[in-house]
Amino acid sequence: MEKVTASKHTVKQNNKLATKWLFTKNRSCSCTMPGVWRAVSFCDGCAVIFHSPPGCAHVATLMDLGAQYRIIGDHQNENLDAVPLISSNLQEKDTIFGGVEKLRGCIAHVMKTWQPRCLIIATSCVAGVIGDDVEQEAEDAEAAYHIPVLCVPYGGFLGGEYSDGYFQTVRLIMDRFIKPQPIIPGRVLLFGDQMGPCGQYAREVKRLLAYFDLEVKWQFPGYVPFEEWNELSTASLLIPLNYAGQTQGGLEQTAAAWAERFGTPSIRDIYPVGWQNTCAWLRKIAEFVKEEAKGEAVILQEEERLKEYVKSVLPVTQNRKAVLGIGRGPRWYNPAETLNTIQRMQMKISTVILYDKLMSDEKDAIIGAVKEWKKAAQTPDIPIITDGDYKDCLEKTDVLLTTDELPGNPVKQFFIPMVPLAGTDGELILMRTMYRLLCRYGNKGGIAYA
Amino acid sequence: MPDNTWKTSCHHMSTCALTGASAFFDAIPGSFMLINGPLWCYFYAMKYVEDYDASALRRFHCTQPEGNALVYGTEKDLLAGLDFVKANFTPERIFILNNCSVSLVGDDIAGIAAKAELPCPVYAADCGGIAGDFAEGYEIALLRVIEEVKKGRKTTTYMPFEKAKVKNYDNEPSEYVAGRISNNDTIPSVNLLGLSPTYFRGEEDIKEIRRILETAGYYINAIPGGGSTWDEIMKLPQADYNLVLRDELALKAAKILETEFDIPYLSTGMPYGIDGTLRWLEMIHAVLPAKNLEAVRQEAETVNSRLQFRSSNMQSLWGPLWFDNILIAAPPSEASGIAEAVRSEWADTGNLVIHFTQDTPLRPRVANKICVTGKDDGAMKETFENWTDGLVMGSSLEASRLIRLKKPFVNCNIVLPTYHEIIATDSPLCGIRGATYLFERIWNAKLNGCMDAVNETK
Repeated sequence: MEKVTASKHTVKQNNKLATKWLFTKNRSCSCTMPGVWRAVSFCDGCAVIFHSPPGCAHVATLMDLGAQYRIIGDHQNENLDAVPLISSNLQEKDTIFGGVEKLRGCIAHVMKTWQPRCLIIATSCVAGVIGDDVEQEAEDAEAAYHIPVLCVPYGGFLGGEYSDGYFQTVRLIMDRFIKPQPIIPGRVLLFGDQMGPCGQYAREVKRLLAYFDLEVKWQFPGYVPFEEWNELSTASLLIPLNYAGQTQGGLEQTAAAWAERFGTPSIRDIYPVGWQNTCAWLRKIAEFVKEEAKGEAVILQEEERLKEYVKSVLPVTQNRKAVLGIGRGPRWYNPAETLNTIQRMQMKISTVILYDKLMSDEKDAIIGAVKEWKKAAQTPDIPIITDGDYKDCLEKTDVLLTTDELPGNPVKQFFIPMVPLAGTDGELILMRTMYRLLCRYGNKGGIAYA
Repeated sequence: MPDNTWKTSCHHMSTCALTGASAFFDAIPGSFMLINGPLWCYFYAMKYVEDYDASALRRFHCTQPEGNALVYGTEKDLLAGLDFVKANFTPERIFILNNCSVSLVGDDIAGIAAKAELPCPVYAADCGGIAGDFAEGYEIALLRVIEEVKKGRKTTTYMPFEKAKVKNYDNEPSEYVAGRISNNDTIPSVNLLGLSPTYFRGEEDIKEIRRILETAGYYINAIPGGGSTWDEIMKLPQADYNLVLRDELALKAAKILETEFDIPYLSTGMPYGIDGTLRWLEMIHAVLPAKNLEAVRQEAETVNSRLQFRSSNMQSLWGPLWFDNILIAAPPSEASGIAEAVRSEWADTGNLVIHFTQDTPLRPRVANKICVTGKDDGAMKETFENWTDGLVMGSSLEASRLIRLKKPFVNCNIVLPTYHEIIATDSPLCGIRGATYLFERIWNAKLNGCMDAVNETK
């Protein structure tokens, strides 16, 4: 029996749980409302109402705040201003007589205070349980105030995940405001979020597109002023900011629907996450602009950057042992990219371990992906441990690349990012973090983030 | 409906009731918290507490009910959650916290918990967001625990504390002896209500308040929600007085304790600044005299002399500690106390604005303008949009607004959330030690502002 002690608190813990968090992601693990908010959060002219208790709006604000400071921490000059987010302040008494009147009053308050040109309403699990007819309220508000009022009545976590709220909002915007029209050359439209225009993904895509004289005009949804929504279909190229995880299926589908409906050429199916994918993506861009030779030259130039960097860190990384620890299901994570990076740094992958928090079908899928990679990389001897007995291999390794923190474990840990790092710069950031971790003396907080 | 019915998130800093209740229960050692609600709500509440208490992630679990559970009840999910706790942990007690949607289901939590046949007591509370914000959740948890204190009354005969402590003096824990005058003197005893270590430098504030009161000659009977054990909390009725440090968290509980146990209470607010701390202590002394106030006065005088000396030296080099504007954005106790201390004791300004993040009747005389979240959203928006330069004492929310509006400012955090500062030292915000900390931070904010301005012109 292990005793877990922190500050003055002690609760006896019977079984050691390896990863930091106790939950498994077997059910809805997020909420639709923050997704709705994020889909329009920097669209000047909009306002968002959460028909919810105030705490729900506070969660969305904290998410935005965290994203802002992460961008600042990445030395970016984040200069976007979020649109108003207001909670209808559902309280206990509203659960008896319904909260519709409160929502109506809230809409009036928002119209008076901020005069938005478009209003978006998301509903909480409380509103879902009460059964408020929010869609009717949205219709009435539209008639009363003569502005478009979009409604996503998904009832918080009851209606699905963050991504469900996000993509439903995108669909509503597409259906309502965007019509087919002639394309205007030179207008590139980035599709998706990935930390917004100042995030690493969008920055890197813009940098790579510049090789081909392509300039990004918009990033949708979330970052286009309401007044410009109706111009979006004039884009001459659509680039979804996607990656291989299944959770991004919504982005893939929505991008496909956009391309079909508005006739916008798009670069889909392959995304610049991981070096191999980046090369394939660059070839697609080159093909689109009909400059294949230039595309190959760009790839060579970018690959040279990687080689130069690897050369500079090899004295530290070569032959160092690495363990890959996976507790993130295939919806969120593809192990092949991490394994490729370890190999590029000429490190030795000693073991792949799967954490207990994975569901059995997730384990099977991850094992399949690792086996496939081993076959392609011709490294059949790397063991995969799934029974929790990985103490020995952690003691013998130089670094653990992990999707989950192992608290209190002395092994040097590298946290595999949730938001994918894109392109050559993304690969360089990953390698730099691993190199710095291998240079580290002592523990210093236990885990390194890219 | 009045405008303050609505909550504008960019001005509204308080987390939901689930978080407030989690913070209260987590502060009772040996407790395990089972959130009966979705993962999203669990994570939000647990993470907030975990920022202060690293053990929280091993003391919280979540039932993750499916959508159908909100129709048919959460029994299945709750029993699974309790089984998980039983199989993996041996807590002294379990608190089940229903999130807002689950609290609408009306499950018989006690009955379900009984089926789980746990080897420890289980207590349940409805404390989702529909109950209110952090303060309301904290209050729900405090009142829930007081219910247990009331039950204990039926089996315990409380001896008035003044007699009990004289009689049992030799058996008292040694850490309480420091504040005593002599073996034969009675020692006034107090409960401290409305404190939480999850506030910005909250744990340090609790220690400082305790230190000052003990130095002055008070015995601290219990600090529910501030680190007291279950047994200590069950002895709440033994105190002579309840001191309410934050009305929004504990005034209602103090009134109940007065009714139920005949313990008078005093709403004190938090002690900020050196003069402010002495005034605070004298207010307590006026209703419940202690015998060693002089020791605190002497300490205050010594520290104040040091600060005045340092201030003079710095002013000779850098000019006066002047800010064109000072914005203080915080809950009532913090904002009013700190505003008074900043303007009366350390810095000068032509314009001090307070943004109260919760409604309050407090109207500090030092403020040129007072806004209340929800009531004065338009005026709060103007504060940011018309901001020219100055000192911002608030959280990362105010800093975020001004960064996005590209407005110059210097900053000193006094409340959460704080994303742009690491807290590693044990300095409090309140009391005498807190006064030196704030004095230092405000001066350094000015100096960093000057240095940054020079760097920008390069």
